Amino acid sequence: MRHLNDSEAALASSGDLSFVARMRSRAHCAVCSSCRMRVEVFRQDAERVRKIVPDFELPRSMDWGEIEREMFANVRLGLDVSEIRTDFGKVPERAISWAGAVSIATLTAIVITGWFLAGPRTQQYLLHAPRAVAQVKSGAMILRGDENGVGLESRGVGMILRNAASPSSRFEVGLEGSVRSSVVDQDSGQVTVSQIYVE
Amino acid sequence: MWNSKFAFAALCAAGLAAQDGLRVNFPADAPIAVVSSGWGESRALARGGAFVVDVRTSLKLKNNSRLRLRGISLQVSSQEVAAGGKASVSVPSLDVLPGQEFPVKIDLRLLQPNSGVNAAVVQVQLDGVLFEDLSFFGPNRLGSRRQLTAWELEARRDRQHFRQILAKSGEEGLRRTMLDVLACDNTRPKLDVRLARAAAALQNTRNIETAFLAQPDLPVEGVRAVAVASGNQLQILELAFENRDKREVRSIELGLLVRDQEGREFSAGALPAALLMKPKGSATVQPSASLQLNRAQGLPLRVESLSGFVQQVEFTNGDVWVPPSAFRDEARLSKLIPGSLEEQRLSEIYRRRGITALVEELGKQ
Repeated sequence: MRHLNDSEAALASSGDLSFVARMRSRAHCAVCSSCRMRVEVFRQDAERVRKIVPDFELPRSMDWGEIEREMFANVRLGLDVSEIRTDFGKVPERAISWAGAVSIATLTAIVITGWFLAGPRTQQYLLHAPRAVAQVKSGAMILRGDENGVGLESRGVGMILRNAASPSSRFEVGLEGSVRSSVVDQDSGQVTVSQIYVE
Repeated sequence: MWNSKFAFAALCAAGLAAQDGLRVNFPADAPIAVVSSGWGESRALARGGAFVVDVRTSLKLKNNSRLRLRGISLQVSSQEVAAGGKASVSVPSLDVLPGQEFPVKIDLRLLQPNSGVNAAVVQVQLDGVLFEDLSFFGPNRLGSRRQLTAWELEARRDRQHFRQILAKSGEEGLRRTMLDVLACDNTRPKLDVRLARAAAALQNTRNIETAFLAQPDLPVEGVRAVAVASGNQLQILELAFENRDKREVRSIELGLLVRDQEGREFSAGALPAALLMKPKGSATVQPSASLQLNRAQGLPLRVESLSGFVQQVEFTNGDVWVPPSAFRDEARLSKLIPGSLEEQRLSEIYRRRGITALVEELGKQ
């Protein structure tokens, strides 16, 4: 009788063989201790992986958002390049008049310049994303804590002490004018307390 | 304009590369030495009218004393981007042997205008270190002595508590306790707390019920509290305390609990207060701040009553008092008040590495 190969043993361990193959493998394993042991080893390996995976966490330096942005940027670049190659040597048809083109270009330049001069509100960038769970306002200064860390902002400049490892779930507002968060660093196991105060 | 942006970004990058942007200043006689410092993974990005500089750095420090190091607190400041504010990074629950090196990570995001020509300079200074015999070294500008001492006492208290559970109920008992701790952490009702300092008087206020929780062996007792509320806004007008101890009190920290009209309770922060009280003397505090409280879903919380409990007392001789572990063992309080930083650290060890690692950790000094 033919022994199970690695693929068949792995599929048998997870119950993924077809009906006929499963019957055949069961019949074979009933009489072949070697194959029975191999199937059992695959099953135990899979069990170990299942236990480990829920605890597995990506390193903190892995920024999926950034990777996604880079991927899309590369895709766009590829499309742009292919577009240029397709148009190479062709004389473009004039769809609009020169005066129209100049007007549109001027308008676009004004909008872009205005956007860069005014910019998105810097405060929104610093204090973006998750809603604050702790906030202290003192004059023009805002102290704030959310799952990203604690920070202070005043008139468009500011500083955030970010959580190095994982999102913080513990915050405390001090009525004297402070916000504190604590988080356990997954690399070092140290508990780190970040605190911001109004002077 | 673009040229200036790129020039500034280049300047930032050059500054980062040259490590001019980070200045680490420890006193010459400090028992902690800086082995290495500098910007780690850092980058500067243009964002509209500002530059965002992300800085990830890890200081490598060395314990040059003859004692085990238990905690450290660093002041992080920048005149360019954080004038008027202060920040600190503290690492309690350490066990650094004499001569041993250890890391302290600082992960910063700076937001600065693009009009300037100088990149922000971040100053990192030692505010204090605490050793195994509770001796302290440092300028203590941020009150690190009280804070590090309290965290260390809480850590000793909680480690002892968990050791007792292990001795009495074995690993299974410790496992159940850790699961309870993790469950409480996840289910603890959370509030969105906004505090306005020097707040104007609230309109249409009503007096609310106030109380202090009964605590065993309390050195400082709250005797009177006056608070008003208007909708989801709360103002504490006055708190009065009496010193029951023979030592002079320098400061206290009061934990605050609020109850809404449906009887639900929430932790609403803490009130640290410098409060000089002679033995058997008394003192009052008048916090000049108002709190706006919302539930996690953004719904305003109508405050019906306020309770306070003393969570730290600092005496002028440097001693610090923290409540015994029995105080938080009451089911109601353990669901409301977050555990100590040591409890947070130990429960994380259990969550990530299992009961064997936790038992091993509790076996350490």
